[in-house]
Amino acid sequence: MKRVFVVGLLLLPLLGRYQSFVFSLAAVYALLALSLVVLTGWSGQLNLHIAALGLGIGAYAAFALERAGAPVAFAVPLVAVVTIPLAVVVAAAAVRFRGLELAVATLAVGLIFERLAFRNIAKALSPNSFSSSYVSFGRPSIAGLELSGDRLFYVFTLVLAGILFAIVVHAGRNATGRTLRAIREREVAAEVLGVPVLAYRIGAFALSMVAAAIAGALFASLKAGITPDSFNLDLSFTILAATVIGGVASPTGAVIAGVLAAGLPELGRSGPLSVLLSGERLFLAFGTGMIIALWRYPNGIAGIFRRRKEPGAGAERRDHAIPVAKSERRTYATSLERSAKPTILRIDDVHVRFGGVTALDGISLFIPEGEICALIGPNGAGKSTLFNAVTGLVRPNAGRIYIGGRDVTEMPAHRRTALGLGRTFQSVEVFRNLTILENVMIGAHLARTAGSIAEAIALPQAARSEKHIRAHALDVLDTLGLADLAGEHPGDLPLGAMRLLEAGMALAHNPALLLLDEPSAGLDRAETERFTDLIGRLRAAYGLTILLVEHDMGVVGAASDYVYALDFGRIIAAGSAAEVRRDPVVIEKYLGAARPPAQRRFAGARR
Amino acid sequence: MLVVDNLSVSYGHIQALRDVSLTVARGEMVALIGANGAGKTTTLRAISGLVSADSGAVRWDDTLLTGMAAERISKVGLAHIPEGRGVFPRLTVAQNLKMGAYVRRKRISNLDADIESALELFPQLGPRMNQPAGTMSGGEQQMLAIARALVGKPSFLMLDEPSHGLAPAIVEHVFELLDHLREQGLAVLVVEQHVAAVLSRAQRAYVLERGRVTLAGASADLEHGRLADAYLGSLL
Repeated sequence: MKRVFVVGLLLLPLLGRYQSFVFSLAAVYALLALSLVVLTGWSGQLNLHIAALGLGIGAYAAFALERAGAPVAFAVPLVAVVTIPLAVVVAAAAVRFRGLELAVATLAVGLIFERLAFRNIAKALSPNSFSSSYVSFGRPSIAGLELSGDRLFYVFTLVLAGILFAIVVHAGRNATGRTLRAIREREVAAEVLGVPVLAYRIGAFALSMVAAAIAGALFASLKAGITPDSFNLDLSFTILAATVIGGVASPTGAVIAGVLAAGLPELGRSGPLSVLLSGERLFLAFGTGMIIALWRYPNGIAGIFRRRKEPGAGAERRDHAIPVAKSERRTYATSLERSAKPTILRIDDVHVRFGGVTALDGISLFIPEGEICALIGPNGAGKSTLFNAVTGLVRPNAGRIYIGGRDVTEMPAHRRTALGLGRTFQSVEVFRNLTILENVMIGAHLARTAGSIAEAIALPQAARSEKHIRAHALDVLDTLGLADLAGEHPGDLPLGAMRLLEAGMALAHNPALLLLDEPSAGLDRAETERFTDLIGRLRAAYGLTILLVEHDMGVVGAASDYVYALDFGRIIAAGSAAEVRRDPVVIEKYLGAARPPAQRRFAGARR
Repeated sequence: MLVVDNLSVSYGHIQALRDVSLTVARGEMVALIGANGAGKTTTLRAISGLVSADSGAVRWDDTLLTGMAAERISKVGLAHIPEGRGVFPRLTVAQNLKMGAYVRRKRISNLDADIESALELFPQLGPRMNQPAGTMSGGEQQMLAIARALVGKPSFLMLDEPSHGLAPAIVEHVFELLDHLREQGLAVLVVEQHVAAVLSRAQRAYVLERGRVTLAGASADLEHGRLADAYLGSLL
């Protein structure tokens, strides 16, 4: 990216008035495309009318500042400051919507700005203008040096755009970018790993709007005047298409997009390509290019170059055997001993209803520190709902939940994670768009010592924080025997290794209480045995307390100290695995008619 | 009768199946077992047309299924219940069940009765008919996936880990149910990790290892170790 900037400056002596104008426009459009990279490429949100809801807002803000007496050279950067509150308000509203709904909402709000707000601002601020909507705007001057010369203005634009690109590139390369990509893939999983998802989505939307607003101020100054129609849907579409073609996932793609969006219309004016690119045909070119990119090259032109650099796939499958020391025989804690130890999780008369369906009907239980506790019960008994209530993904209708003595009933999920709660999911929630190491680094989100702003301006503490998180994540991978695979993507892993990885992501934030949702589901017998051993080893190594939902009674018997059986959202039995297994109600509701022991999967082998 | 003849499948340059051959007759339940990554799911996906084969053929009676689109294969009477359910989360249970009849659009006469009989097999779904399927527990969605396939009145049923996420009593119930369907003349092919449970119900079994069939025989022989094999021993 630095090279692009240097090349841009070196071009200066070669540029005439016209070329300077086009190159400045390319830099402005690149900045606008960059705002889409942050918004769509990284955080997975959409803004269909970036020309109004971004560019236009910045242009009219700069205009208002100029009318208020600010010199243009200050008005342009000042736009960043004055649009931040508006950007945050719009962003806070926007993140309530997702996907298609967000796309339509931005379109609607953008049109209101374009057709109504901009016109009224222009009217209010320059009542004597000869046309009701056109407003003129000056060029900046710095230290008496009037930048009206197009070449000087080009330098001004390049420097400002360069600073913003540097900020985004730095943030993107570090934890901020990684976290946004994780949120884009799986919001819920990121939240339970301790990421304040809402704050990140608002931040990304606001940053995107501010970048677009600065582009807007430059745009107004470059064009020396604006009308509301300068910010119409045609422009939004052109920028969106150019960004998709250039590559929506990387700042490099934004630079390519800027060059395309500013350059192609100029090529349409004259020369050999004017047949293809003149007038309305330009839209055909951008539209076709966008469709081809969406169809074959999801990361655009920038992605084509990057793909060449990647080493070929074809890593061999390794055995992810965990070096296992056979755990010594344990004795079950009696009920009396259980209540003598400090309690890490207490659930007090919790009710959860979905519409008319009662999922949890007054559950009360507690887990002492250091225990491995299993939750069994028929399908639909409420086991996963209980997990969701404990982790904060569903709110109980009544009852309280305490973690380490603290009432967490109203606490959002990511803050419970910070208290020392970790979980895995029945459906294996890993981030397939990140490497295995990055997945675990998301898990270590809470260990970050530098914020997004420190990363954006490349403070040394940002590098230290990343180094520390990386080392910690590698440690976790090492413990699980996955260190060899650190650089690979989890999509190709066998299910057993994927569940290990998910456990590693939870372990990365050093939880005191770990919830495992059906860790053995879908695993073959060898993998199941390995995971069962891992559960015991984790307690020994990290002093963990573990609560697991499990249907494999072999695993339940081998791993757990204490078992709660659920049915219809109530506890129907509790005790050691052996006691619960003998319980007539559990046999009737859950285990089914007694089967010969030989048919019970690996039950006999362990006892 | 389903005949799979020397089927080979690869993903990119990774060979997932090598010359897999197997048969499933009407009125027969056949188990496909093996470690994770051995190619069990790929075999089912190749039969139902979700992945294309490099070589080899799949036939159902006289119909050549190889190269046919998946939705046409399902209209021939083949039902595939993939692992991980695949119910429509925003549709109600009732709407999901009706979608099961899509493959026999022209032959719907007594859909309600068919849904009724599918519900008899999973009484737990009855009270949930008007609930969006996505709000049910994982195990209940699994039951719904099986019930929905049966509404389509298939003649050949393939299940990928039907026990996944099911309580032990329901696992037993599902295998009893499959046995019952088999007695009525269905051909059933099951991929399953609960090896002992599936072998006690299936007539025959194939063991898949790194994309190849390494062992085949009557379930009873495999179950009682008459075919001595260290690998099979590690599965049981």
